Amino acid sequence: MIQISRYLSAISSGLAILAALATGAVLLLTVGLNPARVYYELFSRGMATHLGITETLIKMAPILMVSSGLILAFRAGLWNIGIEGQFLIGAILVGWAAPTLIRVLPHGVALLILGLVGFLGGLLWAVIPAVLKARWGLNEIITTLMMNFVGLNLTTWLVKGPLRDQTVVPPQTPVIPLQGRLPFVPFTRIHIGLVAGIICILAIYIIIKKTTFGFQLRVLGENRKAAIHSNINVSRVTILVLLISGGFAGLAGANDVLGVKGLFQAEWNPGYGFASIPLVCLANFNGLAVIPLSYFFSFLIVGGELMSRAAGVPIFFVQVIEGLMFLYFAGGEYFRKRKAGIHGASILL
Amino acid sequence: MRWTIFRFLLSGTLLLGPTLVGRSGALETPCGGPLRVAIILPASRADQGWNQQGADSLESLKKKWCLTIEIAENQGYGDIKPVIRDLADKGFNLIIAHASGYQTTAPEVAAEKGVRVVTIENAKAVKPGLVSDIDTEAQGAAYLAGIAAGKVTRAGIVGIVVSAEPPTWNRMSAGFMEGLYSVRPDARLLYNVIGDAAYEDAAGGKRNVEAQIAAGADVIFGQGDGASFGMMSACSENKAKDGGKVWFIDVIGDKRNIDKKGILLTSVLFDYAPIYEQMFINIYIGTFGQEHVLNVANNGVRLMDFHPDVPQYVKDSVENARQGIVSGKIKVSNIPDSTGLKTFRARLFPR
Amino acid sequence: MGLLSFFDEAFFVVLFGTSLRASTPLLLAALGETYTERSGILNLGIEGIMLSGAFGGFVVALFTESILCGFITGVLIGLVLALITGFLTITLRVNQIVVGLGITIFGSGMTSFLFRILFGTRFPTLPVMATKMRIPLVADIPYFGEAIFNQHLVVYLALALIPTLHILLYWTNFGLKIRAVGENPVSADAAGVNVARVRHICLLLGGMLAGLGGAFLAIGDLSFFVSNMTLGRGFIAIAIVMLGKWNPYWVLLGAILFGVTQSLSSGLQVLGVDVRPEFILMLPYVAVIIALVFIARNTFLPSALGVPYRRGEG
Repeated sequence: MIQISRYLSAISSGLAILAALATGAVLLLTVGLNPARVYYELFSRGMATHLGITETLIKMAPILMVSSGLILAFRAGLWNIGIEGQFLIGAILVGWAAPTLIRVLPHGVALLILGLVGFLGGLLWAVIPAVLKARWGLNEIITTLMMNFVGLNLTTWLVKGPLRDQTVVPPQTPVIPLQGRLPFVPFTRIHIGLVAGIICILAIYIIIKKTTFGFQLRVLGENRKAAIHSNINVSRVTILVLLISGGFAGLAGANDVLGVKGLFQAEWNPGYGFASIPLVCLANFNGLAVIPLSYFFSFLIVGGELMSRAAGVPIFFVQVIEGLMFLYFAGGEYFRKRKAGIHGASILL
Repeated sequence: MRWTIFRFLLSGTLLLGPTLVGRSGALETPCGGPLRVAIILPASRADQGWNQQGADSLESLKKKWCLTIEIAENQGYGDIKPVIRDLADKGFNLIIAHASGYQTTAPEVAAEKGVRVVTIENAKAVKPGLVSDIDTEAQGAAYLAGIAAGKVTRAGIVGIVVSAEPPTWNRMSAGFMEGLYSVRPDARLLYNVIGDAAYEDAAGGKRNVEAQIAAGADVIFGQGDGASFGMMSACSENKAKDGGKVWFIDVIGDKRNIDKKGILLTSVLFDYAPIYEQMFINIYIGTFGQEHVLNVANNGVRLMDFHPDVPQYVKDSVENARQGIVSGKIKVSNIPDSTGLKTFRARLFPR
Repeated sequence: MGLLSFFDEAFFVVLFGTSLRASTPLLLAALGETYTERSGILNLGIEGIMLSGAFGGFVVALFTESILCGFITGVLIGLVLALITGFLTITLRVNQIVVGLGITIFGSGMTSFLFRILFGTRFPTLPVMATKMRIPLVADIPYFGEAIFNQHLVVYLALALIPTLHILLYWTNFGLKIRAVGENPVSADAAGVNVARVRHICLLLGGMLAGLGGAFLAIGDLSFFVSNMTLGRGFIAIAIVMLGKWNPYWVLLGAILFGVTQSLSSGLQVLGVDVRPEFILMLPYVAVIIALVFIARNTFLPSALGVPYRRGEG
C-alpha cells in the first residue's frame, strides 16, 4: 500500500511539474518567446552544470532546516508562519557573536556554539506567540505573522545601530573571515550546512515517529480534545513545539550567516518561510518527502536565475513557474489521495 | 595573452586619458577585443531609480565600446555568489556589483575566481587588477538641491522623505540639509523614513509626503526608487498651506515626462557612464583596481535643468555654490550612516 | 510644532483622511476574507489576487482611459483567481495553504513578468485621475467630516459594505447558512445546505473584493503600478480578519487600527518625535498583538476553517 502511494506520488509530482512547464510554455509562446530555448537553458544549467548542482545543494540547507521546524509545528496543528522573523533574529545574533567567538575559540567549538546561538535566537522570537497561544489561546497565525514585521524592524535597528560594524559604510555586522566560516563537505564547495539540514530532517522524523513527545504532538495535531482527555499537557506541548520550530528557523539563520553571507546585513530577508510552507504541506508533513521537493525547489531558484540571463527571459518567469508548480502539485494531491484511499485531511485546527 | 597585446597596442594612445576616447577613429573603439561586462542589481532594472540608472549607464556605452552586456537583476541581498561565479565562468571581463550591500561578497568571489569586480562604497577592498570601487558622493549635488529648496520655499518648511537609509541616501540627505541650512538656517526640516528597504512602497511614499505637506512643507526632497512615484503624486495632488504649488526634488533619474502638473523642481542626476569608461580604459592599459568617485567635480552627479518657473537668481546662487564645491571652497559633509545623520540633523535643525 | 499639533485640524484631516484611504484596500480584502473564512476556507491567495487586481486594473485603465473599466477588471480578475482557488480547494478538496500560497507566488511572478513584457523599462502612469466625491453638509463637520466625506467612491463603497455584510451574515437565511457551513458542515449538509455552493459563493465574494482592493491601490490611491506593490497587504488583511473575530464591524476597527498606526508612523516622524524610525514603524504590528491580548483573548476559529468537506466523511 505504501509502495503504491509512493509510486503514485512520484508520478503525480512528475506530471505536476510537466503541467507547470507546459502552462509556462504557452505563456512564453503568447508573449513571443521560445519555450524550448528557455527550458533547455533551465535544465542544462540547473541540473547539468557543476555550478548549478553545487549552488542548488547549498541553497537546500536553510530550506531543510526551516522545514524541520515547520513539520514539527504543523504536525501539532500549530501554524507557525513567523519563520521570517525567527530566521532574522537567529541570524543577527550569530552575525553579532560570530567574529569574536571564532577568534577566541577552537573553530569546531565556536561553530557548534554559534549554531546553538542561532537556534536560541529563533526560539526566543517564538516565545511570545507560544505563551500567548498556550495561556490564552491567541491564534498563532496572527501573532507569528505580526512578530515577523516586528523582527524585521528590530533587526534593522540593531544592525544600523548597536551591532553595526563602524568601519564600513553600509549597515552590517563585522565580516567573518573566510577561514572562519562553515567548512566544506570534502571534495566539494558545498558547506556542511547541507549535512546539518539533512540531520535536522531525520531527527524530526525520528522524534515525531518514535518519542512520547512526538506521539503527544501528533495527538494534539489530530484532535485537540482527545489530547486534553488523554492527559497530555497541551500547554507544555504547544509551547515546546512552537519554540523548537522557531529554533530551527534561527538555525537556518545561523547557516546562512556562517556558510553563505559571512555577516548579517540590513535589507536582507530571504523569505524561506513562505517558500517552505507549501513544500512542507506538499510533502504531507513527511520529512523524507521534503528532501526531494526542496531539491527541486532550490533547483528552480538557482537554475531559473541562470536561465533567465542565458535565455533573455525576465527573471519573474521563474516565480510564475513556482506558483504554477504549487497549484498543479496541489491538484495532483487530489488524485494521490483518491487512489490511496485517504481523503482531504484537516489542515487547520 | 589577448590582454597583453591590447595593452601594448593601446597603452600609447590611451595613457593620454579619456580625452581621446569618444572621438571618431579606429583606435577609440577597440572592437578587436570587445569587453564583456555584467552588472548585478538588487532590484528590478526598470525601477526608475538606482538600479535602472546603473543598467542604463552601462547600456549607453554598449555601441561605443562594442560591449557584450549581461544584466542580472532582482538579486536582492541574499547570495549573489552563484551569479558572479556563473558570469566569471562565462568569461566576463568585468562584473559590476551595483549595491553597497554587495561590497563584502563581491571581492570574496573576485579573489576566488580571479575576475574583476566593481564594488560600491568600499574603497578598502580595492585591489590592483581585481577590485575597483565607486563611491557615490552625491552629497554635493544634494547640497545644491538644498540651496534651491531654501530659495523657493515660501513657508520655510522643507521635507525629506527616504524609502530606506542606505549610505547613498544618507549622504544626500545630509548634503541637502547642509545646503538648505546655508541659505535658510531658520527653516524647519522634516525627515521621514518610509520603512526598511521600502524602495518600492509607493503608497507609503505618498502617505509620508502628504503628512509633511499637511504640516506645512512646500518643498519635498524625495529619495525612493519606485516609492518616488507615490511621493510625486502626493505633490501633484495636494496644495501647500498657502494654496500654492508643492515642489518635488527627485534623485537619480529624469521624470519630467510624467510630471503633468509641473511640480518637479529639479533632480539629482547620477551618471556612471564616465566612470565605467574610465574603468574600461584601466582594463585595457592594465591599471584596473582603483577608487573612483562620483561627484560634482567630475559631473558624475549634477542637478537636472530647473523647472522653467524657477527664477534666475535661484539658478545663479546654485551655480555659484557649484563652482564653490568644484574649487573646494565649499566642503560638503560626507555622512553615510543613519546615526551620524541623526546627530547632524539635530545640530543643524534643532526643533 | 509639538505633539499638540496633531490636533491642528488641517493636519488631523489629512492624517485621518489618508489613513482611511490607505486602509481601503485592506478593508475590502479583509471584508471579503471574513466571508471566505466564515464559510470554512482560509484563502492565503488574497495577496496574489490583490496584486493581480492592481495590475489588471491599471493596465485596462491605462488603455481605455477609464478608471471605472479598471475597477471592473480588478473585480473580474479577483473572480477568476477565486474560481481557480475554489475549484482546487472546494471541488478537489486539496490543501488550502498550498493553493493560497501558490496563487500568491503565481500572481506576484505573473504581474511583474507581464508588466516587463508590456512596458519594458518604461514607467507608464495613468492619463486620468481618480476623482474624489465630496458629500456636502456632512463634509463640513469639523475634524472627521472632511476626512471621511471627501473620498473616492470606492472608499464609500467599502464603508457601505460593512453594515450590508454584517446584516447579510447575521440576519439573513443565507448568512445563517454561511456560518453553519463554517462551523459544522456535516449538520449543515444534513439540513439541506449545499456546502460546496455556499463556500464557492463566499470565496468568489472574497476574491472580487480583494481584486477591487488591489485595483483601488493602483488606480484609486495611486495612478500607476509598481512590481509587488501590495507589500504583504493580503497577509495583513488575514491578520485583521482574525483580530476582528470574523465580524465586519470589528474588522473595520482592525483595519482602522492598522491604518491609523501606519499614519501615525508618518505623522510622528513629521512632528519630529525623537525615536528611531524603526520603532515607529513597528507600531502597527505591536499594536495588533497588544490589541489581541486585550480584546480578542480566546480567539475562536470557525470550527471547520481549513477543513475540506466531503459528504459522508463526518
